[in-house]
Amino acid sequence: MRSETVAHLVSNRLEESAAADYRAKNPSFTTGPDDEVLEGAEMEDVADGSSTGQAEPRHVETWQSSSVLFPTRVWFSATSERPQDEFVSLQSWEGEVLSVEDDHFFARLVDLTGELDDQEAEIYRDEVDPGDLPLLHQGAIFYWRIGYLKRKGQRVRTSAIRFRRLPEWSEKEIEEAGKTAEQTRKLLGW
Amino acid sequence: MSATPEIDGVSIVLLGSFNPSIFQPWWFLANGLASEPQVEAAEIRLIVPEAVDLSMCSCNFRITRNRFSAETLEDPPVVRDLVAGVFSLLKHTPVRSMGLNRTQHFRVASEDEWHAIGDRLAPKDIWEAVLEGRPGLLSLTVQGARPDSYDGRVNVKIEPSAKVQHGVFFEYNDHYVVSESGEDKESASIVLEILSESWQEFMRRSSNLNSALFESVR
Repeated sequence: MRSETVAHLVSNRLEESAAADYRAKNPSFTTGPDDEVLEGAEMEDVADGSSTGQAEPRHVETWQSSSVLFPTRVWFSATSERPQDEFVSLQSWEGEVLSVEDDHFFARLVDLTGELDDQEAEIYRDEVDPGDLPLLHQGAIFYWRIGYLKRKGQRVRTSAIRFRRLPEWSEKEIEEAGKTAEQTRKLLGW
Repeated sequence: MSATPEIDGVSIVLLGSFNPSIFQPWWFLANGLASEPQVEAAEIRLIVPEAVDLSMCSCNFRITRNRFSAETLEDPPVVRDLVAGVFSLLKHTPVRSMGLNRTQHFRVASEDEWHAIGDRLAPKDIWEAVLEGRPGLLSLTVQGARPDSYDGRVNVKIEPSAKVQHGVFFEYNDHYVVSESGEDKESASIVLEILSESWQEFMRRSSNLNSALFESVR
């Protein structure tokens, strides 16, 4: 192991210790997206960074005075690298199925960015993931996003429809809800 | 600076008491939270009694005995539905606190503008007087009160982006105190209530806040 790597690891351990102390004293930050060391597991197995945040092996230029020409480099604690595809969203909608035909369905689309008016669309079944076809019925909610997937330096245009999945009500839950409704009805004298 | 982030991610983090090993792809399938193709495509990195780390349905899940985290770069509503689905099934899970997090990387038009943003956020004159060399801003976190009736706070962090050259990293943390003791049997119900009623507001607030902030530091 090169001395530079050893020094880096020692530095990382110190940073991790300092970060743990800081989090312990600042519980307000603990629900943030920062990386955490998983208890009882080896670092090599699990300590990769949040894909949504900043945590990954890197050095970063710091913001300095505008006059500075040669910014310093600052090492963050390194973690194992996991190749991540990055998705750049161009447009996303939430849809409600209005009616279902043989090979297509009609839906009302609500722009999730809030920039476009609601619109109705005719969408082919082929656009729906086979695993989601059983969920395609009138009133079903789905999400439709169009964007680019950045993979190994390439940009791939993608369009994906995902239907909303929520756990089904159990018979016991339906029964309990019925009892509650009955009690409320009696309470109101209906 | 571009108003559209180059990278836009959302995560939901819960602190409480969890049983990591139940969070396996087949469990999501058996409970109707994922389809068979999604489960077959799941990428499992670790499943041990103490921790789970896997990707499924365009979300990354990382669960330990005291922390549950689900994040996505692609489908914010999907991660919300999945977490809501999980805790509507595990409704007696003790949860102490929850964070709704938005992380975004914005590209800045030029290096000069990028440095100017850092200068506005942390003027360098006071630092140049007390530090050697050329001081630079690495991270700035500011805390504010919650704008609603829930206990908790709002944390905003800004850093130079590590992923976009001369970019700005923005992190918005909507922190909710769900149950101080973590022993409230209804704490998971509060999580569901927040996810159901406050999600849109969280997304809107995080977008509005960074727009207003970057407009003012330009």
